[in-house]
Amino acid sequence: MKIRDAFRQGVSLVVQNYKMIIVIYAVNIALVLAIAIPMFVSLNEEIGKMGIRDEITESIHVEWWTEFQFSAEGIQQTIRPALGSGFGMIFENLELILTGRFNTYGVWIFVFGLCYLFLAAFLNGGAIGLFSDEKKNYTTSRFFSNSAFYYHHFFAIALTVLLLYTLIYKLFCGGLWGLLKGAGGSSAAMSNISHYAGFAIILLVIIFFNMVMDYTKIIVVNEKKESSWLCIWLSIVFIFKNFLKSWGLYFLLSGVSIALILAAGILISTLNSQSVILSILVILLGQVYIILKIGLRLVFYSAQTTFYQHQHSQAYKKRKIKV
Amino acid sequence: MRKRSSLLFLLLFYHVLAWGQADLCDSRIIYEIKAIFDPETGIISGSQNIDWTNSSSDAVREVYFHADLNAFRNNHSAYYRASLDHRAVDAWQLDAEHQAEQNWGYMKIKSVKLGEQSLEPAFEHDYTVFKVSLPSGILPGRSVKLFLNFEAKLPYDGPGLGFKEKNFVAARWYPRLGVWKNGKWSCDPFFLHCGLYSRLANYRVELTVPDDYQVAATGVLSDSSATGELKTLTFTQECVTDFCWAASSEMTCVKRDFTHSELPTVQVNIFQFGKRQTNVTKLFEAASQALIHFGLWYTPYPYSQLTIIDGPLSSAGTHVLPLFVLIGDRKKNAPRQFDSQYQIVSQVARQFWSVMMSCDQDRWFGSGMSEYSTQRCMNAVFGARLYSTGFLRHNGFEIPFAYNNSQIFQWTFNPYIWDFREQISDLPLSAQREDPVNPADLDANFSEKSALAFWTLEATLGEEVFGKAIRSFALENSFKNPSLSDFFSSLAAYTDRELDWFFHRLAEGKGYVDFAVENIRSFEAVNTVGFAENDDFKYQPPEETGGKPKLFESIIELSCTGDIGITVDIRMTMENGEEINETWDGLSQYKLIRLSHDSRITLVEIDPQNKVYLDVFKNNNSMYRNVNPVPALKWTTRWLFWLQHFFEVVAFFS
Repeated sequence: MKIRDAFRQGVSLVVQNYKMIIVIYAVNIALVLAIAIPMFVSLNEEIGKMGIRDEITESIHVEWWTEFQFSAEGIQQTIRPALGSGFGMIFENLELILTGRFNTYGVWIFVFGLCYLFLAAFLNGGAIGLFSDEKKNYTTSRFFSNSAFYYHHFFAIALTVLLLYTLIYKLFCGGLWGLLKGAGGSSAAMSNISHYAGFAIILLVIIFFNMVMDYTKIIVVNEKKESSWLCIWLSIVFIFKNFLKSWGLYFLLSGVSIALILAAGILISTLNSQSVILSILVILLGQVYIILKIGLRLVFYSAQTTFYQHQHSQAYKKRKIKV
Repeated sequence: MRKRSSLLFLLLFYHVLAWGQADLCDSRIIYEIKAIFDPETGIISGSQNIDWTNSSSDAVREVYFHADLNAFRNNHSAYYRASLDHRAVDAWQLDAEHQAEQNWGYMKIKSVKLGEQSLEPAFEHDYTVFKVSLPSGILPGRSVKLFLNFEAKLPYDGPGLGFKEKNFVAARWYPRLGVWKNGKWSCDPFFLHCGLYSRLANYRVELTVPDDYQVAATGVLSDSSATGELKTLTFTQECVTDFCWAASSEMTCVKRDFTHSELPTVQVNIFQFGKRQTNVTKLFEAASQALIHFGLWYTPYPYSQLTIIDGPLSSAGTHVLPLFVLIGDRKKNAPRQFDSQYQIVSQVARQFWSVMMSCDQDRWFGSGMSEYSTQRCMNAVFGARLYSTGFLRHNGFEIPFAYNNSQIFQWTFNPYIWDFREQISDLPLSAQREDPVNPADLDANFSEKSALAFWTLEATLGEEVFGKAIRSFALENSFKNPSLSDFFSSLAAYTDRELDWFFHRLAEGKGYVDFAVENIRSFEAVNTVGFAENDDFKYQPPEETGGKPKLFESIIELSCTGDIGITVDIRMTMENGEEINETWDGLSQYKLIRLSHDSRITLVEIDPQNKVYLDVFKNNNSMYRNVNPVPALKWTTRWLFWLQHFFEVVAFFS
């Protein structure tokens, strides 16, 4: 199967089952609103009467922010200039992925993040179950029954992911930086090159393990195996058997994600204006972006599921012919 | 005022004449040093003649010297121990992989002689200070000539001195005389931000190095000779507080002349170590801008040369290197794109305030003026800047990122204000090393906080008056070791305003202030019904009040924490747009303002023109009567979007 076809079919599967995006978006916004409403109340008390409130509304008022930070407590400490800038946020997320410093924003955000990780694992079961199903049509009951049915596997996989990435960020990255420090030498240019190379290697490692975990989930659903860990092994075998195509598909999906992120960054940075209409437009665009991002995450699963099913059936046919 | 202008003109004329004269100052100390430097071992073997004239009215029986390199001798020096505990800019420590023998520094005093008579050096503290007792006292007006033999070794990558990869920077590398002042020696042990105070001296230094080594030095090269594989370079320099040099076989040098129609020509020597590739023009431009601005604002740069050393050490430290500008890797206040310019402007400013003026006897005065002048020059040259930060920070690497909608209009704003806020303790500006305080706080105290004090002073007196006073002070006091009282005299000649807050309450008190609007209330005034509150007790019936225009009573509660007691403006804006202005001396902790007006109050602002830079919290300086939820809503929606995005990043791993 061509990469292009897998991608196209993946997109069409997600578009057909767009209601799934709405469900996941609803979960996302509900959880975020539950935290954001108390945040608004406390922030309003803090800055609603402040003399420089107009300047705060218009742009990033750095002097205000440094002072606000000094007395801010809890999740208020996560208010920062990057929130007002599309690319600031993009860089921050890149930093999170490459360094694994998910506790940067404090204990509460870390805990909420963990909750969302396991919630997303629950919803992934529903999505992959549906993409793997012969009917491939969304119904709420089918979606949630799939989520519940596979959750013990997906929960175990999420725990494994946590353990795996802890090892990658703590041990692998530590060793890698040690090696690169020696290779970088003393010149500033070489040191910079070695840093960029280090981050590129870390990104490749993350992409590889993420791909492994994606196919693990797909295999769990498609092969109905009891052991999730066995599925990890089968996933690695599958990736290496279809090395170029599996990597090619992942890079294509990643490329589309990067394009979406950059487009959002440019739009939000450009439209981040003082006018009320543009501000509302930025908020709406932000929500469209989140919906697209959720959709794209589902395309990762749908395209890879289609690809896996196709390659698997081809291999099965070949085996049958041989026999 | 006319008289003052004439005086200023005469002083300027005198200084212009003085450029061509040989003696910059009336120095009473002459150093003649001969040193051989071995780059293989990093050891400097030297002999030094020092000629000191006792210009005081006391007979002096012992002489104190600094042996600063002993601060790098082992991990027990007070400096090293303090460096472990604090994150001050010039802290120094060796990590486990750098604790080899060659990375520590020291200074050995091999002999001290007075004529033919040998004297015994007696070390004090942690070997960074030693004294020599003289057989007979030095009477007022008499001189003493001492001959010292020493051996010094530079440490690995110290603050503004040391070596890194066979590149060497030497400062305070010879036994340096303490300062005889008020009947005693001022000779502090080497410590974070201390042990720097020196008198101006004249130097003649003969330095022998391998033939393939280039040398940059504080002084002017007056002679050179070669013997085999070695060469001897002779440098002379008048009226500086230290003699520094840098040496390397990998160093390249670019020489450019700074010229300006109203200022003397200065030769700017730019030395770049190894693989440093900073744009030379950028460095020269920054130095030129500093020489122009400080020359026109204060007094012309009096030396014939300025040397810029680009690298090789990690940190330029906070120590002053006369006629030297050392660019380290470590950035301080400035965003990365202005890092090298900021370091140059900052160190040129120190040439004015810490070398020429030697204002360091009141440490906060010299450092504060340098920092204030730097910020002022950066404002003038580079204007507004964008707030920037770095991403993917790792081992000194980062991807710089500037927020395009976040202009910072003053260089006075810097992230180090955090230090200032965090150390809102009882630390006065005049705090000394002996005081039990965190040296990192001293760092902020000496530079950022005192710079804010000068900004406040300028805003209070007005830019023009302050500018004239400070120029007059600089012209009158170059090379004269002025004190704070000299500065007060210069200010008093130009203003009648009360300056006690600056010279006493600020210097000796907690040295900060926080004005705040605590509460605003406004309500419709209830007109009197019944007998009037005046002497005629006239009865006021309810119906007579009906036709009168409404009156509103507004009550404003203000507070002031801190002990500077500076006068501030208060602006009250009414709903009909009318503004009412008041002033408050800030000497009491609370102030209650009652207003009766035909309109309700809508906004109260303390210090609306932002004159009091020393106000640590500005956000509470103003308050609206009514709440507007839009700012909180806007920031919450931004935050909400970020959190949604963050969750989706987490879900990527699910």
